[in-house]
Formats: sequence, C-alpha cells, structure tokens
Amino acid sequence: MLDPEERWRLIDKLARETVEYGADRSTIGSVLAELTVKPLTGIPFALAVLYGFWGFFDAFAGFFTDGFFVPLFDDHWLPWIQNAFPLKGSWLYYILVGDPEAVNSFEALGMLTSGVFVAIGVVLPAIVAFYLIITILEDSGYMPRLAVLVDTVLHKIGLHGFAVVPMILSLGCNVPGVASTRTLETKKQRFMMMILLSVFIPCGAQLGVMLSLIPEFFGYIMIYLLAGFFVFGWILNRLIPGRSPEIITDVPPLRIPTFKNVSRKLWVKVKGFFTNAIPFVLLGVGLVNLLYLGGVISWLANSLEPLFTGWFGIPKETVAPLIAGFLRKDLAVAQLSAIDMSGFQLITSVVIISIYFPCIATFSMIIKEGRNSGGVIKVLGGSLLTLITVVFLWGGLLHLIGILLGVA
Amino acid sequence: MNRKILDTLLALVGACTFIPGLLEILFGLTGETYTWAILSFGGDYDLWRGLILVASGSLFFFTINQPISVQKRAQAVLASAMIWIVGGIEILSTVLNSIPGGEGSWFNTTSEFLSYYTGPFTPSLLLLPVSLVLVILVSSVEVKNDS
Amino acid sequence: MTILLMGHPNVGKSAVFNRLTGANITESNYPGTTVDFTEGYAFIEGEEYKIIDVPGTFSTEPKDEAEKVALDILAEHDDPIVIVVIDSTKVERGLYLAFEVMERGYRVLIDLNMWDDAEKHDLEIDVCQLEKILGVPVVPTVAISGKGISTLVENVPSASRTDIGELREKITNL
Ligand SMILES: Nc1nc2c(ncn2[C@@H]2O[C@H](COP(=O)(O)OP(=O)(O)OP(=O)(O)O)[C@@H](O)[C@H]2O)c(=O)[nH]1
Ligand SMILES: [Mg+2]
Repeated sequence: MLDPEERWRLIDKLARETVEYGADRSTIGSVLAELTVKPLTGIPFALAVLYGFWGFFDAFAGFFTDGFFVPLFDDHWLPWIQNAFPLKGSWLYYILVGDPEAVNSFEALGMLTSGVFVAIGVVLPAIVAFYLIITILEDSGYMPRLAVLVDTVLHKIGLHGFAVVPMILSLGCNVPGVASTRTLETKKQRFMMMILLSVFIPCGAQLGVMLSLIPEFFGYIMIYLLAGFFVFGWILNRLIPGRSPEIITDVPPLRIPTFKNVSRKLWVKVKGFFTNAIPFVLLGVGLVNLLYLGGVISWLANSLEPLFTGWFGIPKETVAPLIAGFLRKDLAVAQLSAIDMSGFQLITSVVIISIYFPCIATFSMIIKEGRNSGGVIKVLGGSLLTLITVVFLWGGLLHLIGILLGVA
Repeated sequence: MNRKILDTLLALVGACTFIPGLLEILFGLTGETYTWAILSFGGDYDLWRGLILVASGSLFFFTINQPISVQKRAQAVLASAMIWIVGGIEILSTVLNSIPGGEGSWFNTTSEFLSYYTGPFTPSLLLLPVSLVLVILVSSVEVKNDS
Repeated sequence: MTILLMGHPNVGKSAVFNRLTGANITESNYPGTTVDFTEGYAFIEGEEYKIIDVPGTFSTEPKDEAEKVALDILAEHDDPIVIVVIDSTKVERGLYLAFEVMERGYRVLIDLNMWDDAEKHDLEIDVCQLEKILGVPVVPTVAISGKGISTLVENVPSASRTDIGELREKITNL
C-alpha cells in the first residue's frame, strides 16, 4: 500500500499527463448555482421556490380532492355503500361502513368509507403532488443547495452541528431520513439527529394531509415543530457527551431533471404507497373501530382526560387518532380534522400527533440504525426518555402559550 | 443593442416588478382586494407574492450598471425565474380551477370554463411574458459580445 | 461472480446499476442517496454476475457508517470485480479511490461517468493513455442516457489487477 501523500503525488502527475482542462469559463448554470446558495440572493429565491411548492400543491391536490374525489365519495360511493352493505347494525357494518347516517366521508369512520376516502381521495393526490415537486427539486440539484443555504443561516444564528440533508430527506419520509444519519461521523450526531428527525419533522404524507385539510394552520404547526427541533437540538447538543464535527455537504451541479428519472421515481413512490401505506391506513381505521367496539377507546379517553384537557388542553376524543397515528400519521391528522374542536386545539393536537411517537416504520428503522449508534438499548432508552420529555414540555408549553394568548 | 438600452429596460422591468410587489404586500397585509383595469391585487397569500416580487425587482435593479457578463445575465435570469414561479402557479391554478364543475356536475360548462380566463390578472402573470422577453434579450446581447 | 460498483457519493453509481440490471433504485442529485447496498443480477457474455450498488465512499478508510457498509461489502466478497465509478469532471479524487482499491489487489475496471459533463466543460481526458498506464480498462459513460454502458459491459471480463510497484515506476518515469 502507498501512503496517502505518495498516492496524491502519483495521481497529480498522472492527471497532468492525461487530463486537459478547458478554459475555465463560468457558465450561466454555474453562476446561477452560486447565486442560489448565497444568502442575499438565495433566501429570496428559496422563498419563491417554497411559494411555488405550496402553490403547485394547492392547485394540484385541490383539483383532485375537492374537484373530483369529494363529490365522488360523498355523493356516490358513501350513499351507495351505506345502503348496499348488508347487516346494518352489526359490528361488521360498524367496522367496515361506520355511521349509516353520515353525509360525508370524513365522518362515516368506516374502513370502506373514511378509510378508502382518506387513502385515495386525500393522501394519494397529496403525496403525488408532494413527491413530484420533491423529485424535481432533488434531481435538479436544488435540494443540497437549500441544505447549504439553511446551514449557512443556522451558523449565522449560532446553531452548529445540524445535519440539514437528513432533515430535508425526512420531509419526504422519516424512514430514509433516519437511514441517512448513517453518513454522519460521530455516534452523538447520529443519535441526536435520529431523535430530532423522527420527533419533530413531519413526513411527506402528513405534510400533504395537513396542507390539504388544514392549510390555514399549517404555518403555525410547522413553525412550532421546527422551533422544537432547534431548541431541543441545542439542548441535546449540550447534554450528550461527544463531538459533533462540522458537516460538509458536497454541492452537485444544477441539472435539468429528466422526465424519465422523475416519472420513474414518482412511480416507485406511488407504487410503494399502494402496497405499504394503503393497507396501513385501512388497518388503522379498522383497529380504531375495533377498539371503540371493545370499549377500549372510551376507557382510555376517560382515564387520560385529565392529562389531555388539563395539561395539553385538547379534547379527550383525540385519543382515537393518536392510536391510529402509531400506524399512519396522515390518517391521524385526517381523523383529527373531523373532530369538533377549536382552531388552537386542532393546532395543539396535530403538534402532539407529530411528536408523541414516531410511526411504526420509522420506529423500526431507529431500532435498526440504533445498532450502529451506540447499541439498541441505549438508543431506544435515550429516545424514549427524550420523547417523553419533549411531548410533555413542548406540548404543555403550547397549551401555556394558548392560555397566555387567550385562545386556549 | 448596447448596455444603456439594456440597463434602461432592466430598470423598467425592475420598477414594474417592484412597485406592484409593494402594493401586493400592502393588500396582503390589509386583506383587501382591488382591481384596476386588468390588474388585480389581493387574495390569498398575496403577502408572499408581494415579497417575492419585491425581491425580484430589487435583483433587477442590482443588475443595472454592471458590465454585460455572465454574472449579470444569471442575476437577470434568477430575478425572472422568481416571477415565472409565481406567474406559473397562477396559470396552473387558474387552469385547474376552471375544469371541475362543483355542485351537481363533474365538469364546467364551456362558458363558465372560459370565464376563468378573461381576467383581471395578478401582476406576476402580466410580468411573465415581459420578463421572458427580457431574458432572451439579455442572453442575445451576451452572445454578440462573446464573438 | 460478483461485481461491486464503488465510487464517491453522487457520481452516478446507482444510475449505472440501474442501467446494468434494469432495476429501479433511487438516483438523486445529492450525495448520500444510497446508504445501504442493493443487489441485482445481469448476464454478461453468457455468465451470470451478481452486481452490488455500494454506498458512496471517499476512501477505503471509513469515516462514517455508510462508508463502513461499503468496505464491509468489499471485504466480504471473494475476489470481486470492482467497477470504480468516477465523475469525469473530478478525475483526481476518483483516481485516489481507484488506486486504493487497486493497491488491495482487486480486479478493477474504471468507469469515467458523467462524460457529458466533462465535454460541456471542454475537459479532455486521454482515455487510451490512462488505460495503458493504469493497466486496467477505462470506459467513458453517460449513465443517464446509457451511452458507453455496452462498452462497459464488454470490458467487465477484462477487468484486471495492477502491480502497484510497476504503476509507481511507470508514472514516475512519465
Ligand atoms: N449528466 C449526467 N448525470 C448523471 C450521469 N449519471 C448519473 N447522473 C445523475 O447524477 C445524479 C447522481 O446519480 P446517482 O446514481 O444517484 O449517484 P450515486 O453514485 O448512486 O450517489 P450515492 O448513492 O449518493 O452515493 C443523478 O441525478 C443522476 O441522474 C451522467 O452520466 N451524466
Ligand atoms: Mg446511489
């Protein structure tokens, strides 16, 4: 084996012999690439991109959900299945169809009514729109630039050691986000980011449902979650022993995304949604209905009521979505939006849905990755401890803020 | 075309972006809507559109007085891209809004469908073609200087 | 027979993998997309090869868990063929990794990917001379369009080992 210095020396010589660099012309692409990471020009542009993101989402998901799926499910599917399904009054009817008198698909609460409607009518358009934009941003090379930009801004305000790429990845889905913490150097960083991501960063499906069902509260919820991300990141960084070295992101060139790659990636995601997500959404609805029938939900709701109304300031009925949230957070948000409560309570309960526990898929990824980050027991113990602290402090604080503002 | 003319154009487009942007911020903050000829201000998220236009306009101003270079060109492209994003979203949502029928029917009738396209329009939509032409001009000047 | 695709993050390993195996794994324009390995199969000249898309690595001394995965894969397989994928606009750092792999005595084939980018930057790489000096096949490719992939495949059987002492001599005498 050569030593690194000699290796570099040989390669330098070899490259000088065989590689000829063209005149270093800066192209419009490379200048644009620079402008997008400089805060002065990059931040306004990022703002425009986010606006575009939101605008596209709003138009696209609104077109399918409000334009076609809502009338389809509410006016045709729901009344048909309410009548056509036999055994009205039985437990099977309750689980599969739900309320025979319901006039909209949100409130019917059956697997074949609310379940299918939420999965196909709400989440599907939302994630198609969401992943389409994410994929374009990824393939154009804008994503890592946004990461560098955010990183620069974080440093300016004195926040160091956050891994922005896993953070942005997590916005798509927490599972690859947690997986990508592998590229971090120290155990401390991996542990910290794993917890912060899975607790505070809502995934694409959840973001999508929030954007289409409760857009008016979206901003508040995100700001509160991100604030939590940084506050607890700062605290954890101080508490956990170990180093968190700077993270250098290699910024790739800007490219025009190819139609083929974008459509292929989108297709993989949509296929994954049909095979992995839809069964879980239906299962979630079924499980909650079963627990209702068994009296478990009302028992839980009553015994947790002091905590829910006293500490968090949310109605006890939110217990059912919280259970569904173990399986799918998007479903949980959809169920929350059907519960009768004040705007501030809705914000609080969505925040709590986001932070109370990672979904099953993310949780199993944490266990898997935990092995590489200091042992499963340590990681799991640490996560649970952090989780409980976060839920109580951050959830309670929001209630307190509400009281101080006079809205809770 | 020489630099003076180009800079004048950049300043003009910059002003036509900056001022409506300011107005949009204003209407966004007050929540009012206002229509003047075919221009309309206000509506959901107008504050954001205003902020983006103001930033874009400022970037146009910034390119003035620089020698014609790749830098200048890229800045003009970036400023225009911000207009295109806002304007593009406007077009997309108009098109997608015009198709479904709402109560009772799946699709809109032709006349209802067309009524979506008669205006008034937001500033970004009207600026979209203008900035497109400007970018083409800026690029063409570059090419001439190169050879 | 096993083929490992190794290289820095974001050089197009997954794109090459998809081309070779017809698979559909995620390619993204940011480093660190692949953090776990993916296996696929391809028939090359009548023989079945197992192809593994390895997470991006900067060198053979691991700095993080993703790189550790990469090096474990390298150590695990019995005499694999290593296709070192290099971003043609960043030849030097790619060669660094290639050298390390060659020094460990593996059969190596070098893939100069992103050749289209190199052309755009007026970068000229003397592939023939590089091949002659290194003593391993060097193939320019554009993984997203598929250009050069068939040549890459043809050259898999001729992947070869290099005597590093000789290589040092050759370069020093250039
Ligand atoms: N222009 C050009 N782009 C390419 C080429 N090969 C791959 N790409 C693009 O480069 C980006 C990175 O490709 P990947 O295949 O994800 O890279 P990777 O080496 O697997 O990266 P990691 O998994 O992060 O280590 C993607 O956007 C590809 O579409 C090529 O030959 N030319
Ligand atoms: Mg890859």
